[in-house]
Amino acid sequence: MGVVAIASQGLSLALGARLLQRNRSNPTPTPLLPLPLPLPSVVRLCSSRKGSARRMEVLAMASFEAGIGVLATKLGMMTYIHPEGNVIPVTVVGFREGNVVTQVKTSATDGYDAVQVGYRRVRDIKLTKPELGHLQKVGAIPMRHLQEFRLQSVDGFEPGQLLDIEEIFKEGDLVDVSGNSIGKGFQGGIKRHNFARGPMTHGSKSHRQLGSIGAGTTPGRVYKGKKMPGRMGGVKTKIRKLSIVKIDTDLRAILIKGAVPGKPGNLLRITPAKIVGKNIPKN
Amino acid sequence: MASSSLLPHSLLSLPTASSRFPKSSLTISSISFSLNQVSITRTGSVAFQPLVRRGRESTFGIARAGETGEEETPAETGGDESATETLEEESSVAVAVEEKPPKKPIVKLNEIIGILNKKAIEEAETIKVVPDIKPGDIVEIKKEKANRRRLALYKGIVISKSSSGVHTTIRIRYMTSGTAVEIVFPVYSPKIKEIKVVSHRDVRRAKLYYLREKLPRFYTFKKK
Repeated sequence: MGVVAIASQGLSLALGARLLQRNRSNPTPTPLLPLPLPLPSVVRLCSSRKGSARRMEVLAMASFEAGIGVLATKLGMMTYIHPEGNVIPVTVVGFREGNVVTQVKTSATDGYDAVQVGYRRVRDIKLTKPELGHLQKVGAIPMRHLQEFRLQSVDGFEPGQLLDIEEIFKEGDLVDVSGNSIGKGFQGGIKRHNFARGPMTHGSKSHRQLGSIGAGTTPGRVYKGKKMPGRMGGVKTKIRKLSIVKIDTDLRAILIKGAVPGKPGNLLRITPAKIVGKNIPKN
Repeated sequence: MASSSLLPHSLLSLPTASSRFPKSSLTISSISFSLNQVSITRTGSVAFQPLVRRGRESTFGIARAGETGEEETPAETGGDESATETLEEESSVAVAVEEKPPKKPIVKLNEIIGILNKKAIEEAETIKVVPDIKPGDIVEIKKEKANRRRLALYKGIVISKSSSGVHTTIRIRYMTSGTAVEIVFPVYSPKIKEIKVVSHRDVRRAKLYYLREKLPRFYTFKKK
């Protein structure tokens, strides 16, 4: 019989009896919080059942970048002819005026370490006064986009600092590129979830439909997350481990092998690739 | 003191000195990113920077250059040694600024791909000269093989040309030993060593896909 231990006081006997009854009926201990009890910051529920010791602790969720990144603009695609003779499809990525550090967040002041970077100069009238004030505090130009790069250590970054592409990336580096993908609108199962079509002939009445969406009386419902038609695309997408083919310093452009999300003109966020075993930051 | 006597004069003459330099030279044409500060980089800007960074001496220097008509006149300053040194530098710097070539034009983002393609084509042209190819031309192509020993020779009729910058391709159709073959060649590839237009057939199409239904004699060519 599982014993549920809750690290709080004030349980009545009747409640305790009910607990035991519950445990007899279904062996798995359920997290029981029927009364508005003052919850401690760490809630531990452990069961002494053989083999299963479940502990539920409140964790700090954290996902760090492998290094500082930059914001960029997709310009288009072209072919890059390698001196060896092989031909590589590349995306040309350009940089508008920006990539200025606008704020450095530290765990002392904000609870976490991050570098906020601005991108794309705009006219003053296009920004609100609070936004302008935030940028003027560091003496930066008025910029449209602000994004944070959460790092493990923010030493070496100061507000107002310009990020140099050549210092962050070099040819041959692997990068992750994220941006808003092309919106496809409301799409059906075949395009959205790679479902298979039904037969087109032989008397078939179902060509592009979903088919069956569940079992029968049991469970008697459709599972949550069942793949169905819906809006496709137009969301943030990250393409991982793309290699940088060339960095052109005169034109201020980078050639990245392969394709990146969005159409030409799209805002991109380029960060060093996070590779397990190499530079995934550990807490 | 030469410096003190000339200083108020330099302040007065500052507007004229700046008007001598074209207004465009003071705009930022390209910004190079560096960790600590924005540096305005143009050709000849290295000479320009001391003028921007220093305080009064720079205006002093511009005024002097303007007054003396762009002559290097260290002797005119008089006894003050530091003033002569700065004046020498500034007047020579001012001369350098005047004589520098025109500034680089700002490159728009939508022109970058065009410029990259042009550069790549120029590089490819150094390997071989690419002639003007049209559909209907009968061409001879010499291509490097994988083992890099012999050059493979292909002779056929161009049935289509796809122009896309450095990845411009032509499709050649020919007949070898009873088999019709169509090959796509990227014209600016470094593996193609020579393209020669041998002759031309009058066609009234841009894409000659109708040859696929025609008799093989229309796309059979004897190699010399």
